[in-house]
Amino acid sequence: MTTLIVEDNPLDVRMIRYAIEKEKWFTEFVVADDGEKAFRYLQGEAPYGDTPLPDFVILDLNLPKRSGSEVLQLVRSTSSLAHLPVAILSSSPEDVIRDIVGRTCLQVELLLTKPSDVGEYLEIGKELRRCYEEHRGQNRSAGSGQTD
Amino acid sequence: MADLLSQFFSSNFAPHVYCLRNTGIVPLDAASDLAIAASYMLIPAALVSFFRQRRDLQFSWIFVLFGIFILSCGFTHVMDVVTLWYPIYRVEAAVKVVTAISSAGTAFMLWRILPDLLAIPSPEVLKAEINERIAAEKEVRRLNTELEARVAERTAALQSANANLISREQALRQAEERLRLALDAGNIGIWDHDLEAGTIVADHRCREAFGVPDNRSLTSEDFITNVHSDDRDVVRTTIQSAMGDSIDGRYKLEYRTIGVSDNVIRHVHVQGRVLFHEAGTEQRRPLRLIGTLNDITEYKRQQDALLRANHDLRQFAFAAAHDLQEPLRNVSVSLQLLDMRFPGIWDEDARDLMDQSIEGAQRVNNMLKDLLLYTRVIEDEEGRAGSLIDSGDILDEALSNLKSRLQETSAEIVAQPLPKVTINKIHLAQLFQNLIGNALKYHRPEVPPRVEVQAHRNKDKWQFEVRDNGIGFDPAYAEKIFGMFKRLNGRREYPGNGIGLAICSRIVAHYGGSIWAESEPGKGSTFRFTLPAA
Repeated sequence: MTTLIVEDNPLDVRMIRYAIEKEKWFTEFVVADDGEKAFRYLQGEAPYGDTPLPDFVILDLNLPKRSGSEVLQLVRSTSSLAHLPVAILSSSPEDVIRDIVGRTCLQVELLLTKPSDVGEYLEIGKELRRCYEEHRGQNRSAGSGQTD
Repeated sequence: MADLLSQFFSSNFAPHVYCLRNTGIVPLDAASDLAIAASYMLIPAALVSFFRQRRDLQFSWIFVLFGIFILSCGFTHVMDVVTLWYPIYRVEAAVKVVTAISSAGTAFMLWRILPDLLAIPSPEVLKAEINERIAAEKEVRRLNTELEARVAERTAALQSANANLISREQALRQAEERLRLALDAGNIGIWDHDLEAGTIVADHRCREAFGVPDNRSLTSEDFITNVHSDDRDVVRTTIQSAMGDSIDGRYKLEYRTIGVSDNVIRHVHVQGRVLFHEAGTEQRRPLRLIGTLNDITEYKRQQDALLRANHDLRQFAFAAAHDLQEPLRNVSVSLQLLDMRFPGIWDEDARDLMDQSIEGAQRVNNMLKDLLLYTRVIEDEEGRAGSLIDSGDILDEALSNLKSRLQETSAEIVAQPLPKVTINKIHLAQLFQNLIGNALKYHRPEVPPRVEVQAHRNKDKWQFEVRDNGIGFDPAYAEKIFGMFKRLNGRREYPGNGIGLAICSRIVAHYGGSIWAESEPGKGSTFRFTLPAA
């Protein structure tokens, strides 16, 4: 499986990978470090071209160029991507994330605030795995209801 | 001629002494006739003298006639004496003729003017008339004096009334000047809108605000066309509402005007009142709008600048709090990874340094998180206004959020019935959570925390009280503890950054209330805050 990590902070990318690996949950990673690269990847454009589409998306909200909300919008409005489970991992406090995502009226499976403690990051790894396993294969279209 | 004269004076006759010789008659006659003649000379002399002096008398010429006739009579007596010795009887006859003519004439004239003479009022009548006239004159003088007295009275009254008027006019003018100066100092314009006639009286400052020249007369049309098109609806609605269902017809407005002559946009603050015909009845009809106007363009500019500055500051604070967290997280995480990567390398000292670094970074991160919370407490000053909520319900919510900590500390919460207050429920929840959270945190070792929550009404405010039996604090720091990041205790004993009370302070200030604390070390603390009653 392929997990798309859309995140501009390399240390966070490292921690996410570390946390997931610690879970013994094996996935290939595609990393897009700004919103536009995420767009190009999801739309199958160069330089991503042949890279397979992801099964799981871990998305930061504060991104250069295109924002996390825009990427989410793209995912939910593309029929081949709309069913993907999306986890938001952002530096803002949880209620702010809830607020931002709520305004898009788009479905998100998990909302997390990035921790500053390594131990907590490892916990997040568990949560991410759980999220994927609960939600993969479910069908959801853009514009429908509730966030997590 | 000479002949006539000599004949006239001839004396061929016998003088009278011839008849009367040797009788005593002659001397008697002569003496008497002389006396008579003398008198008959003197009398006319007196009459003429009288006549000459009293020409003013009516019919005074009769005295002349009398004089002539008496004089002639005198001459006849003179002739009597003369003819005693000298018989010039022709001369005597001539004198007698003259005397006859003059006496007849006088008699005739006298009889002729007798009625007129009789008509001349007697001295008594004249005296009476004079007395009457004197009396009348007296009366006139008396009336005059009375009149003068009355006039003087009236004049005095008028003068005092005038003085009164003058002093009133002065007072009025003073009042007028005071008003004018005060209005000028306060930059307040006055306007008066007659709704029935459709005319507006406005002073210089109002006209300036509307860019209208001083001499032009104004109509209702002039008013609304100079209100900024975006503001016209608000203006109309407000005035109509004041005319319709308001109790006293008062209203306040702020709107923009567009100057007629200069097209400049100005901000004005208007306070007005609708005056009604038949006020108080059902059928009251709006008659007149009257009020004051204040050009607040400059004030608005300053206010906008302040708002912008405030907005900028908040953005800055938010950005700082938010965006600084990421690099700090990086430091924190990197240090931890470094630590984990090389487990055996660190000796005690190095480990200590490492721990302190990690802790430091994390602490800053937590502070930034708290700072973010603080800046977000009052997100938007205008929005999120309070609503009337049951503070008891909110307390329950706060307590359920603190459930695990309540259980950990075996805390006891005692709450009295709490009132309804107008406040955003998130804010009240934050207040309770912070204060009760503190009470739970700062409990005395071995003593389970007991927190009492109550409220009582104090004039126009509700005063809430959160009292605990914890460690208390030195009352000298009663104000300091509400400062940002201010703590009185060691971080290791009692975790936290010291932002909770700062947040409470900000919330309470936003609603116009206040918050304060009383305490004694070892005897627990009481935190009180006020919120305006509904």
